[in-house]
Amino acid sequence: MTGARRQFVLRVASLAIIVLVWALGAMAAGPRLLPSPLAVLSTMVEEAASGALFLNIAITLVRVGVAFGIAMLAGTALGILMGRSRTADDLFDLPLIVLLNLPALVIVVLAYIWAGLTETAAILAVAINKFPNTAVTVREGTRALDRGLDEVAQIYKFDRVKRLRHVVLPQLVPFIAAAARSGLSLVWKIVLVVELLGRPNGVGFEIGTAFQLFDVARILAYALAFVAVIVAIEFLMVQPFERRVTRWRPRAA
Amino acid sequence: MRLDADITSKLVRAANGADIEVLRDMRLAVEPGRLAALVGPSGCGKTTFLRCLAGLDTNFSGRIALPSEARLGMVFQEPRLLPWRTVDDNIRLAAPDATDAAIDQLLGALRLSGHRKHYPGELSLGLARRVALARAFAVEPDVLLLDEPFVSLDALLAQELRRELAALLGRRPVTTLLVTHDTMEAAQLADTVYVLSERPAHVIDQVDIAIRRIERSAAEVSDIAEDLDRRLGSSHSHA
Ligand SMILES: Nc1ncnc2c1ncn2[C@@H]1O[C@H](COP(=O)(O)OP(=O)(O)OP(=O)(O)O)[C@@H](O)[C@H]1O
Ligand SMILES: [Mg+2]
Repeated sequence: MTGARRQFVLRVASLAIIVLVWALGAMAAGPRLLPSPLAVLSTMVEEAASGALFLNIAITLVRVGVAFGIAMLAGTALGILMGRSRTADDLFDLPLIVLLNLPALVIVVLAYIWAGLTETAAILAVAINKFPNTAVTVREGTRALDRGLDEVAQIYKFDRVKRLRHVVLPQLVPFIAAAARSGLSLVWKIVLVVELLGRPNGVGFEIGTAFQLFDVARILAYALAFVAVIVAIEFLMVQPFERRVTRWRPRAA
Repeated sequence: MRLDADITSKLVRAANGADIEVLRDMRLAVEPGRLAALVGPSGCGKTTFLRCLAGLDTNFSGRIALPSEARLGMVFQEPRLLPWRTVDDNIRLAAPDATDAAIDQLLGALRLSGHRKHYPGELSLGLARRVALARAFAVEPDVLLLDEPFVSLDALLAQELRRELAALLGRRPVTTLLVTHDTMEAAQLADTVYVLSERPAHVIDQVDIAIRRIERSAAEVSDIAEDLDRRLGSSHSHA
């Protein structure tokens, strides 16, 4: 346990150093450009007390969750299809490459133009940004599937659902987890842009408003509160899930 | 269930694009509840033949009399267990209809009772082979296909597993095809031994063993094995 203790101490130390550097920077730059950690904290408390902070974070989280879910499901399905079928691969490869290289901003702006400044447009724009990356990652995993286990499933007459659940998906877990991890951080960043450009609420909208008022304390308060929530999700949900689905893997003693 | 195969030709495409004929006029039949052993030179096409029988490869000319509803048990050259499922789950996934009592008995007979909650990565090769065998028996197969199921185990362990296989077959006879390169193994377990030619494989010799499996003495087994070695050797020099 000394290893875990050491890790904890080092993490706290690095956090303390960041806050210290920030405080020094705030003194040098003045409260208008860079408010002190305490000023940001008090803004955060104010926003929390009024309920606005929680409401905006909740709205943004729902958008992140829905867009992320759509992107992961569609991307995984297309990735498996493309990994298994040559025809599907040849058919979708080029559009996928185009989509992968299309700047997020272009997709967002076009979605708003074509589908109006609506919730659906916002969420779809985010999902479309993430899903090609998931498809490509899962396709790699599908290409590496073990043929031998497929044959076992055939011999013992596994139906489609059983095959997917017990043979295919367990092999894809590392790939889906990699896509999910890079996906979560990508999706929330794009959601903020989408909110800034065309939504009347959410963390991105608040930051946009604060930008117009040059209220740096509010920008930092919202940004840090939201990052804290995302990090908590990563630690409390993504990592335990990964541990659970890979517990069969023999670990180094 | 009777197993009857008549493959006139089976080609495989090599990496360089050329077609290689692996099986030609490969004919054999196994009577219900009997065990036939296939012995033949390495690379002659034994695994290819089993894959055709199992329906894993349907790209051949010829005929296999095996109804599609026939239940198959197969043990591959490697154990091929699902690494992310426990021993118990590996067996139950393949045999969802097996009763708890049947699985208990099977795992007991193969001395796996203490390993039910283990993942395949935690098992030795000998144990993993046992699980593959348990899985094949758990489905109460009509036909059992075994592809060198005891290869690369030490002699003592292989012997132990052969005894366990014989005991399982004694309790519930299954039409079985056993691929092996070990003539002792064939002599010990088979009712009939088919000797195969070099590639393209076909049957060049058939040896029926009259003495029942459980009644064969060690001396008789080694006599039969010696006879098989002779036949294999002479077929080599012809080919
Ligand atoms: N996909 C393939 N591409 C090219 N050659 C193949 C392919 N599959 C099998 N072969 C060839 O066909 C022949 C028969 O292979 P098979 O695995 O059936 O032999 P085997 O009798 O089971 O050999 P072993 O005793 O080594 O297990 C081999 O010579 C092999 O090189
Ligand atoms: Mg083989």
